[in-house]
Amino acid sequence: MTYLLFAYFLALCLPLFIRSWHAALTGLRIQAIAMAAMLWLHGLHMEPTPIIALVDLLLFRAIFAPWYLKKMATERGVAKAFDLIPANLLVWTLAAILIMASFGFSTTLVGQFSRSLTHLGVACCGVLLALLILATQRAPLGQAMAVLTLENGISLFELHAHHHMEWVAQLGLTFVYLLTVLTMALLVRRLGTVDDDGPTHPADSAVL
Amino acid sequence: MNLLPLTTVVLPLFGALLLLIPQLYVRSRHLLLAIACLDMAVLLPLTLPRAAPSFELEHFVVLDATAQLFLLLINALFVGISLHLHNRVRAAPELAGDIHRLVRLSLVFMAASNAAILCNHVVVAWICLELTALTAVPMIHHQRRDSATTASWHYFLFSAVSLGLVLLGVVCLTHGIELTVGAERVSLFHDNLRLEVAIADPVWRRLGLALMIFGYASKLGMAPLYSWLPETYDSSSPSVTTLLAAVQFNVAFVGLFRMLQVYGGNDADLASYQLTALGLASMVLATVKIVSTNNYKLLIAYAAINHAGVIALGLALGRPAAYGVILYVVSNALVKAILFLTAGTIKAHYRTKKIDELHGMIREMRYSALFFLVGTFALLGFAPFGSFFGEVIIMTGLITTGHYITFAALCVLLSVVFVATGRSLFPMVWGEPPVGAVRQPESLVALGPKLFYLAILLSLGVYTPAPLSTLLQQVANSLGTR
Repeated sequence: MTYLLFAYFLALCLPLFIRSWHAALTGLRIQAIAMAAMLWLHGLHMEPTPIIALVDLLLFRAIFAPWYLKKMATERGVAKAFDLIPANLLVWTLAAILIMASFGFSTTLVGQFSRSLTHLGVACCGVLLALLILATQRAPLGQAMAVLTLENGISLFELHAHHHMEWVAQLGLTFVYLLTVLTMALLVRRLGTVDDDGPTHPADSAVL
Repeated sequence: MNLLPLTTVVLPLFGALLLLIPQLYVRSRHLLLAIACLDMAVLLPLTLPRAAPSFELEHFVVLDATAQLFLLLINALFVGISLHLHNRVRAAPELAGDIHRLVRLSLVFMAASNAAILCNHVVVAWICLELTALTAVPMIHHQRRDSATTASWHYFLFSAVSLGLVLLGVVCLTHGIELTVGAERVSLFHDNLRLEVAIADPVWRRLGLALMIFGYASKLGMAPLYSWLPETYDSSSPSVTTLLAAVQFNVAFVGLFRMLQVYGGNDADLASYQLTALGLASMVLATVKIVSTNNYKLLIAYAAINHAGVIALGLALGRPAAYGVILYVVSNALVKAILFLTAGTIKAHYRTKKIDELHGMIREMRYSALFFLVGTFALLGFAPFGSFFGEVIIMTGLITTGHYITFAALCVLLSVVFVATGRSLFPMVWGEPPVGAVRQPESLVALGPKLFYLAILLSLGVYTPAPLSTLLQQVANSLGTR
């Protein structure tokens, strides 16, 4: 399991230092694939909840969401050189501090010799680095990637629990994720056209 | 099996599906009003106080006092919003173009809101709340103004973060329970969680509570993640603003309230500190903004943040202020609905949101100005409105539990808000009107929703019917053990 967590960790951290949105999307893909592999290793037991979770991870998080974001980025002509966080020493130091804080927090929670230490540390990293990206990013595409990183971080936390919730709830979570990606796409596309001043709707002067 | 409560979810969804038929587009505003009224009619008998909660649909649906009260509130608000939308389209036919899209989204929004309140499962309730946020996004930029599109994006981002933190809190709580009772015996139904929380691992339990409170507080527009609220309320149309400020606010509040019910007296110290800190920070911030703004819609939005702060302070006290909090929440929803709908009418007529450009509204738009005035009085916590009594009970709770510094801070902040709001809004109503101003005709039908809200607001302060009073008391009693 540790090598999968290491892969997730690399897929989370490396795109922060590589100036490319392709790298960021590949990172999202690898995170989802690593989580799917972890779920598989946990054992599916042919129960509906983990099967739905596996489909969610492989189909929507590893394939659909990155593909859709890539499509949007290409449509909008986003430059290939794209920083997920500002490329300066201050923000990089902040990212490093957050990574260390995540593992420190994890140690406080479960103790130094727990098997959960790495899992929780990486999951915590996922959430905190997503918040860092959101706080420093101004481009909608980068903010969208931050939201997806946050969603992945929460999913990694969920994988830490052995309890399987009711399949209806798992299905609902998958549906919400899909809807989130679609809504995000709709908005990022519309934000791409928000340049001109003044009303863009014939009935703009009236108020509903 | 009594599936009648589910009608409040199924009916709006059915209406939304009907609006996929292009031939019905022209009838969309009538359909909206019909479904809102029908929903209310179905709901009324269900809201009579009952001795014990009833569970349906394999325990996923609960009809307890909390669900009864808030279903009644948000559906009553929805009737008013539907009537407002109906009247606006009738008065300005150019708005009818793609109204069916807004109506469809509003109906899905209401179905998800009702489902969130009725849901007994913590994750499914979260999913429903998330669905209300996702349906609100296209509603915010329905009129396709650039500012609204940006606002809806910010709303989306903040919603994703705040609700993400809530889900993370639920995951932490689940893990805490799992550590003590085993993964197989964990149940995420609210009523079972109450028993499990008491024996959960305290570290994970407290982490879960802290994350959930922070997440829900952000969804309610509290500091530090508050900036989406004024921007969204200012950029959306009045009907959408009212849906967010009055309906969604209460759905998120129910989420927070249910978690506090689940925790009972466990970790009351943490909840108290966190809610007090978030509440006071929100109030300070809102007060500064209220003093400095020159936009009446923004002023009401900041007042909403201020009120969320008062609610958090009340919740921090637990049982001693619970009745006051519930009364304040219900009154607050009605006040916001009156003010945002009236602000919409004012904006539609004057085409400005600037306070210093409006004077003597009482001469031109007598009834709207009166509603604005009365709404402002209720906003400021004047008697005999429910908000006054709610505020008094919260303040009394602060004194009786020995929170003197918080009490003093609350008094100072409310006094500053009182002066700043009065100084800004009263000249809009009473000042000298512009030269050539003539009185505008205002139909009684258009005033209907606000009159309806005002009547409920007054009744909460002057005379609360026995069933409603019992319901309020039952909801208050369900909070905490202190």
